[in-house]
Amino acid sequence: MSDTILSVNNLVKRYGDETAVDDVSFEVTNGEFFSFLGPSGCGKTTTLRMIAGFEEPTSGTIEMNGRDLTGVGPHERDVSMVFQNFALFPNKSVGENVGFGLKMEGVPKAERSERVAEYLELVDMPGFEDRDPTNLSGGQQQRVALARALITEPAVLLLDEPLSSLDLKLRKNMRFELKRIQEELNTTFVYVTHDQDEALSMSDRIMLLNDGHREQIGVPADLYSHPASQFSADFIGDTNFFDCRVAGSNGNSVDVELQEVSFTLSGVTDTIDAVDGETAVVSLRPEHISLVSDSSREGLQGQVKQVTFYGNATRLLVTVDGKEILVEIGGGRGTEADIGEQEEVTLQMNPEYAELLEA
Amino acid sequence: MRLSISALLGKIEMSRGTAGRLQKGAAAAVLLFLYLPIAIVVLLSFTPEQSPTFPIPGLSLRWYEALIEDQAFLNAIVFSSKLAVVSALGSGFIGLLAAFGLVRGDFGDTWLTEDLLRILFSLPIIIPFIITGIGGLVFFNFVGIYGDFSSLVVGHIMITLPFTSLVIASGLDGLDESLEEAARNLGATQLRSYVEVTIPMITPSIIAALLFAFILSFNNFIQTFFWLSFTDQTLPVLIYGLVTRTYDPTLNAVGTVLIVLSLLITVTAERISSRILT
Amino acid sequence: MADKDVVEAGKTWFWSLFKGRSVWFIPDVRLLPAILWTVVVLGGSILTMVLYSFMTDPLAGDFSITFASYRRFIGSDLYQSVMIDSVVIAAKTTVATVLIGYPLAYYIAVRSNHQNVLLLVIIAPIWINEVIRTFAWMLILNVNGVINYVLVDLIGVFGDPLRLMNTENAVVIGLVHPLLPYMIVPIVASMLRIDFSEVEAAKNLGATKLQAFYEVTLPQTKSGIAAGMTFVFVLSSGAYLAPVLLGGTGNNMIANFIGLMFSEGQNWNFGAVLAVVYSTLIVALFVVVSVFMDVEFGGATEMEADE
Repeated sequence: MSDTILSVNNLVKRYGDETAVDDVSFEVTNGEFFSFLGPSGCGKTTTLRMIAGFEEPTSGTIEMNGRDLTGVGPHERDVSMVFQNFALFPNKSVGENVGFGLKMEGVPKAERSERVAEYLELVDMPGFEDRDPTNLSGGQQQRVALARALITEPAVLLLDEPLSSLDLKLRKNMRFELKRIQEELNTTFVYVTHDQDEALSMSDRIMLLNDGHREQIGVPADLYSHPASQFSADFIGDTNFFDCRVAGSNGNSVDVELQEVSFTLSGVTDTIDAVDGETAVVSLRPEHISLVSDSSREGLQGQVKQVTFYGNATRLLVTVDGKEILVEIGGGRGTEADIGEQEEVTLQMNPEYAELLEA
Repeated sequence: MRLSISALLGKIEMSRGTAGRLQKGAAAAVLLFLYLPIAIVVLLSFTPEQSPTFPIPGLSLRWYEALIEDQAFLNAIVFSSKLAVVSALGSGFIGLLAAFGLVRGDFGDTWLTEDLLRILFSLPIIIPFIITGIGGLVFFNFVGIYGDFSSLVVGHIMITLPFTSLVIASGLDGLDESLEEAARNLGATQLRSYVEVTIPMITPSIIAALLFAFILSFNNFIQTFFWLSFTDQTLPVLIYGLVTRTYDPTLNAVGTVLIVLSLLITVTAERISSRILT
Repeated sequence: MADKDVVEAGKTWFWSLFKGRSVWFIPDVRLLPAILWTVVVLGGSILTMVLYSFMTDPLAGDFSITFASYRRFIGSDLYQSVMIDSVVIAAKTTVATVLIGYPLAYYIAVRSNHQNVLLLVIIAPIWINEVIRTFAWMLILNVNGVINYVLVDLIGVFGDPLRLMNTENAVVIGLVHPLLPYMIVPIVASMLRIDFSEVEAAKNLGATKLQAFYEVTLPQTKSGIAAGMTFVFVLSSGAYLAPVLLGGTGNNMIANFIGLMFSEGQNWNFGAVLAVVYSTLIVALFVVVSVFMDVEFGGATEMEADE
């Protein structure tokens, strides 16, 4: 595929007895915004650093544009990296920082200044050439780091949790900025983060890593709606897990008996190859459970244990047969939001959105 | 036993003000004690009298003039300086390499851990002077360089190496390795990244290390005393010889000069080092 | 063939300086010069000295093995008592520095707003030449010196000048002065680690200032005191200048005798024996005291080693 710019095959990294990256393979398409998502210690930064050339793989290959990068030093790879702590050179000005990569390429001074100015414009920091990078705010340093990495027009831009040291509001703004720049330049971005909101909102595709393994890979909507495992379902967004037994299948859907709450959920369409009688786990997100305060209706009867108001939504923890179920209802207005603790309620689950997962 | 001391202490009540004054007073007294000898030497360097008695009848620079005219002193100052500069440079270079090895080395599974190496490098300071001094004497004699200038340099490098290596190492420690990685990522070779990023950032540490090494070498008495041949003398050894014979008031003058020099170098080195830490 | 290989090897070695490749069991080649220097020079010095303690007359070239000097030492009351006196002086110095240094350390760590400046002020004298500093004490303690000037001439407390020079106490003073910083700095460091809200809690529970200090603050500075005592004891045990200049011939310490053996005495063999025996004594004392303190105060020295 001529469109594949980065190809990672069976990548393994071991440190003594510990395996940080365990047989990870994936391909990144040219112009894509591709994210590595996972909890700390899952191997995402290690993988990124191997692509950059700062760590050598124990086994496996990394290919860029068809060329095997094994043994190629970091300074010879056509990748640029934006570091988590920005890593701006304190002994150089902003302009010298941004122009550094060009200086290494041997670009003459005049042309360098032009391009530095051009890229500072791109990141919305015109005129900052002579400033001292240590005097800039976090957000400003972030942009300078970005300009410095992009100016060499790399084949792939690597970003190692670049927004994690910024405060929340700034982070949300920078997400738009990064996405905008990526689309404008059509550069391939490989982005590492532990923040699922970031990954979901910015990426074309996400690779979920867990403990060194590739857990799942796909577009954000797929990862959210069709998690492949309990880890995926739980890491991205919130969900309720129910132990269950497959009761019967009819055509495209199956019926499952939910053990803890003695309830049979019929018509679950999203299934793994379920076998009758098999134990499995059902994942159902809080927003797909509806709730009425009338306990005479059909559904699961339970009692509200806790109500938490989130501004644009309300979450209720409802106890059903001793099991705690998380329910989300939208908005702050309407009778549903006026439900208080200790109230008796009825829950109705939407089988269309339930996921059947391996136990 | 413990309880009764506590009980005793409990009987003593002190107001906050008294406690504060006691602490301040004690502190001031000790500080005075520390600087009294230094003050005396400086004061007496200006006496016009031959003997170091108080009160001082007036102020005079005659001993400073005598110092400038004394050939023996001048020779010793030159010799000490030469030795100190050479030793500082040698020690600085070896210490620089060692610092990189300590901080950037990949220690993996060897028995020679970084901590062990740091202890090894600090040994010359911990082991008593008399051992290193006399041990050096017999060792240089055994090797055949006893009395040579080179033996002095070798010995002074050994004495100052703990300082240079550990000072530069601490400067390097504070340096974020991701800066070097960023440089290499942008196309700089390992060597180039050292030149563009690392060395400029540890230059203050290097300078501080060199200053410390210089002053340590210049001031050294006990080891140098045993290593010198009969032809040349360092300043401290010359001073010692004079002190053990008769009283010479020029000693106060040279002492004051040394005091000022040392304090200047120390403050400068500290200022530079602390600028790294901030 | 040979030239090209040599050049290649040279280049590889040169570049390895930057890569930091490992050589033999040394993790990083850049450590090599420093390791060599320390091991060869320092190790060589100690080794030669130990060897010479067993050789008849190394200065004259006679390297035959003998234990005669060790036997001589064992039979010698003079040298043994000098060693014991030296240890006593070192012990006195150590105790004095603790008593004098602790209050200042407390002030700096707890009460002062200018800690860095004060620490610099305390450390600065270390860099002043030791001969000059000891000489200064000669001026102060002399019959015509400052102390007598103040006490006799100015205030008139004493009629006759005090004879402070050439006494053991003069030597101790001459040692305490330069070694104070070595005691103060570790104590300050250990004090800075204390959370003083614990002291306030103690006072809240009824303790007086002194009790709170004794029960809460003091125990937590034990590791600092231990470190300081180590430095001061080891350094003062090998003192040379203070005993000679301030103590006079009656108060020479072992370092002076050892030095004598190697200069005028011309007896390298016996001098080496004295050096070896004394060093072993100091190390043994140090180890015993460390173990004792570890047991007593539950790993204070271990805490300090972790730092």
